[in-house]
Amino acid sequence: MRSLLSLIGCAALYGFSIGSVHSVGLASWNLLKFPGMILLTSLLCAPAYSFSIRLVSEGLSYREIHQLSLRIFRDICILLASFSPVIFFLGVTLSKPTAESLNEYPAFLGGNVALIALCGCSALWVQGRRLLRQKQLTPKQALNILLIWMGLSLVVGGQCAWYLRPFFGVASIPKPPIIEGHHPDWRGATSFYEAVYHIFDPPDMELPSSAPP
Amino acid sequence: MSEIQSTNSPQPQAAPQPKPRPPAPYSPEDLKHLYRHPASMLELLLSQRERFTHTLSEPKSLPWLALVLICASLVASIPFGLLSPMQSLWKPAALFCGSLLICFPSLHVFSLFLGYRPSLEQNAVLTLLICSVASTFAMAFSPIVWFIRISTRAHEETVMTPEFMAQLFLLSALLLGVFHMLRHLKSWTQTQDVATPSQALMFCWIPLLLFISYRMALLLQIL
Repeated sequence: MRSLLSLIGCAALYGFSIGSVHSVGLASWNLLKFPGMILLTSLLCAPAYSFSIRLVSEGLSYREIHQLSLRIFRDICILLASFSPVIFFLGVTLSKPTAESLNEYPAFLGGNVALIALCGCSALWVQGRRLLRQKQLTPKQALNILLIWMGLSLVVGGQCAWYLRPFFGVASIPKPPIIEGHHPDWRGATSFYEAVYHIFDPPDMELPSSAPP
Repeated sequence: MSEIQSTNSPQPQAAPQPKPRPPAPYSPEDLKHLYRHPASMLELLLSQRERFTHTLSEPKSLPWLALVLICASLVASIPFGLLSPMQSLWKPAALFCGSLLICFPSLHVFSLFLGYRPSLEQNAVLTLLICSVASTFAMAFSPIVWFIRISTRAHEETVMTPEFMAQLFLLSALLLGVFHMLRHLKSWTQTQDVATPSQALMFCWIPLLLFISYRMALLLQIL
């Protein structure tokens, strides 16, 4: 229970700090959305975590698998929350996007993505060492367990984040929706998977009729 | 003197640790009562590898084990069928079990022809493990596929539709079933004195199973 409360509290704190790049309103909604995204991912992946990890290693019971998943999410949230003052400060002081230019917004966005990756890897590293020490698994088993967790969480968490976006918000768009849901992005992607696909195979974008040939 | 004697005298060797006893195979009574304990059924399918492979050598238990695997294959995939875009109770089970039914005779006949002597029940149980584990993982993936279905609105030009994602998860479930069966086969081969279906024969048969599964998916309009 304490782990769950820590997860929710730290996720809410980080969510608020990233929303500060847009406005207090968006930051306030992130108090609910960011923990909600993590809890939804965890819930949707729970059966898949259990069965996949059980397939790889008989050394963990179903209860231990769920506790491991909760600990990893909790550790990531705690590490992210530790950066909240930094993120909040940068969010309110960066050069806001305007109609002509995004200014420092892409760097803020990219920095946060890198931070999430860093905290994710750190949490996985710590939990991996714990698995080796306490459960006496082989390094290969521990690695497979963590890779399974990471793969499922990325596939499902990506779509959860897509559906619940925006978490950051471009300040030049004064009133973004609370949840974008199905709404396509600027390339027309209607899901996380399509957005990733467009990175490798961008769609042809039609020029406006007033643009020169 | 006594110290010198004590250092020169040979140290008594530690008694060798006895080998751990292999787990008892599943008896027919254990298998008959599995339906009351779904968690035990999951244990049988996913984790009790040594006990499962020992059960392969128990002729009285094999029919019951086959029945358990058939039930798991038919029932476990129902949530996936209902929650995924195909919205059909029976299609995933028909895909896994139907493909196996078509391909099984070739496996059994070839294994006899090449001089391996597994019984029909042993071959059936090993291959039913593919269907049952695939169905179990389909069940595990069903909340994910449901969420993708409700959170995505696909349009005509897109490749990454909810149907495509469901097909990927179904394929993953099937491959996990194949992988798990191969691990059991390897364990069983190592414990047996008589010739058993070789892994080479299985590696030749599995592409056939996957191809027939693909054709079955086309027939069932899953693809």
